[in-house]
Amino acid sequence: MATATQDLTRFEKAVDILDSIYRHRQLTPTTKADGIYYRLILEYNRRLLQASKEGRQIAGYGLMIPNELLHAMDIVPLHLEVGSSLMVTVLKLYEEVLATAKGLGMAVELCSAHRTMAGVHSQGWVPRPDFVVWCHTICEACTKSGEFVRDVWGAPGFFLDRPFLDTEEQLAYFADELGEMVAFLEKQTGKKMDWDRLKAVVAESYKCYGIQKEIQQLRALTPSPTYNRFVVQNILIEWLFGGTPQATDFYTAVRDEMKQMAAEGRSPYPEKFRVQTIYVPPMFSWKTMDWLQREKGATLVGDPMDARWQKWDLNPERPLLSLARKVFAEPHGYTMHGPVERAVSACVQDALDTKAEGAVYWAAMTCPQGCAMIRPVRDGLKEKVGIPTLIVNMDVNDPTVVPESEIMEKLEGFLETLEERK
Amino acid sequence: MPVAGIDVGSQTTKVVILNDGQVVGQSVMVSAEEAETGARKALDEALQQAGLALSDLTTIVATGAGRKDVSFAQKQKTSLSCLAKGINRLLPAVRTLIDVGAESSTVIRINEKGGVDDSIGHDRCASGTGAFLESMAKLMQMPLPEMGQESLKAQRRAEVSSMCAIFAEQEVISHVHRVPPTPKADIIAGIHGSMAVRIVGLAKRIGVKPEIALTGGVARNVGFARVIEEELKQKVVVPDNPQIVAALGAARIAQEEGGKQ
Repeated sequence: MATATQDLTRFEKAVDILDSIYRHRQLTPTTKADGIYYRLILEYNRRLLQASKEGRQIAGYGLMIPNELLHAMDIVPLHLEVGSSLMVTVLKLYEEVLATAKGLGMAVELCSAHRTMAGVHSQGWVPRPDFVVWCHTICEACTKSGEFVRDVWGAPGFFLDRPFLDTEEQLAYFADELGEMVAFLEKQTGKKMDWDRLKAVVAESYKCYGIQKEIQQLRALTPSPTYNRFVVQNILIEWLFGGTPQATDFYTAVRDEMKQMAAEGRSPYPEKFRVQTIYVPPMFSWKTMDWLQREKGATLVGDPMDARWQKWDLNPERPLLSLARKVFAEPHGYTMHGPVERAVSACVQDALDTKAEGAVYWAAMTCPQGCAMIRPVRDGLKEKVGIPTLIVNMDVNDPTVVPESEIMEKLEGFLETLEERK
Repeated sequence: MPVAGIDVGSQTTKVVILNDGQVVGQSVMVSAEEAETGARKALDEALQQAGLALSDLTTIVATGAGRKDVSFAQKQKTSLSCLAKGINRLLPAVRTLIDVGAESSTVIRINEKGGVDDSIGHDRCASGTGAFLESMAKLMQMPLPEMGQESLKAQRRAEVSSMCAIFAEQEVISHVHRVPPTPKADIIAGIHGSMAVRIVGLAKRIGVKPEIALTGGVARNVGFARVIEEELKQKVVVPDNPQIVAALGAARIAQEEGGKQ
């Protein structure tokens, strides 16, 4: 395989645009949390650019890798899936990047988020990772993509073997695997892990988890004091900053704003419908979330696969075991890894807790794992909660598969259904 | 109080005018390139039939894929609500509606008030839609309206894929050219069967509750209606004018909206 040559022209352009967006947000502020979100996204990318120019080490890391380990060692992180998709979204490079992936022999049936990553990394459009860590998730594309990025940059890599179940035995195995990952990071950086620092980082992460649980409860209030855009902001902040003080700042601001609205008995916009959102909405059309709330009065009150945390037991003296437990308590990891009953019960319980009147399932057509859960989740919500589920066929990164207008049309029809059911 | 419902579909535009709850005018025309122009023409025809002028209409509701382009409509509603309202007026006992249009097929579970309880749609592949049937008619060198009657002569259904329009086309070609060729009626019954399997599969996902109705342009095909019954193993009712159900529903909504004003 030919190795990539770094060309950061586009990445710099993306950072400039993120900077303009952030400055625009400062001039026309909405909420404090919104301001923090745009600042963090800018800082994440700016830090990468700076690190690349200064020759600081960058770690490419995939979905479900605990950020805390990188953060504790002061390693500059580059998220493989989100880093590429974010840049492509900002610059609207979908066509070019997906065509590059096609040229590499990647079939259109493969997840477009991973085809995007392949297109971006193979052309060297993001800072070169000095090493890559990736994980065994239920998504086989994740497993292969880490290898691809490692090979395309000719960088060393570490594959974290994540067990599929969370018995005590398997959690202990996973903690050992995390220890192996630390050894790999130490070898690459030439620095030893500061275990006291890691304990402090994990404690910070646990604090953030507590705030996220509070947010989950606040969202369930009627009216729900939540902005729909939190759905997408939450995914990005958790995946890019999970376990860092920056994440704590963001979630604290979100929680405080929600508490304020709850005290005033209001939601950001008049609430007409309470809707559960399931799985990841299309990256190219996040404004649809705003449109749903502002124009249609539909508040996304529950998000079982991305915001409904399970119980995370912290053992402050055993940070690796604590992180192993966190990976299984994290909503996406818990629901996606099966057995499918977990996803169904999370959606059902969330719908009951939040008094959702309907659910929207974002069916990424190239995601076999996500699509496999549609039927049991839909049936569960119908039989146990008595609410309908709209299945929105779409692609998470490619707007040409199902355009935004078509997605909105389906949502509009669904809201009419909810209106008639009242 | 005369009101109108306009359904701007991808192939045809349908209009229904209600006056005091009675249908006094209706029209079906091929959709124009500009939805607004086509809607206006179809509306004019229905108005003429009703002996009314545009200014007589108190409310106009538009539905269908091109509804947002109809600037003279006071309200837009999606097809789901309009189909449910329309069939509830024609056949109040219907609880499951299967609508097969030119570019999509939709199954709707309807409550006793004519509201939508649940729905599911298919629009990502031509198989299971009227467009598929149209291309098959060309392939069979037979006028589309004759396909239904011809298929009733079939001894058996030829095997045709239900998963992909392109593969289905290849299979049909192979049936035509094999020695001896598969009888035409059997091939057409197979084509209808492939569509029905797909649509009934969709219906089963939300549950099929009797009575069942079939609407949309494809419902005029008697052969297709029969295989839908065979696949469902239940009686399926086709209203007299299956194409105008959404327009009728839009007119009903216009009537209700008018009452609110």
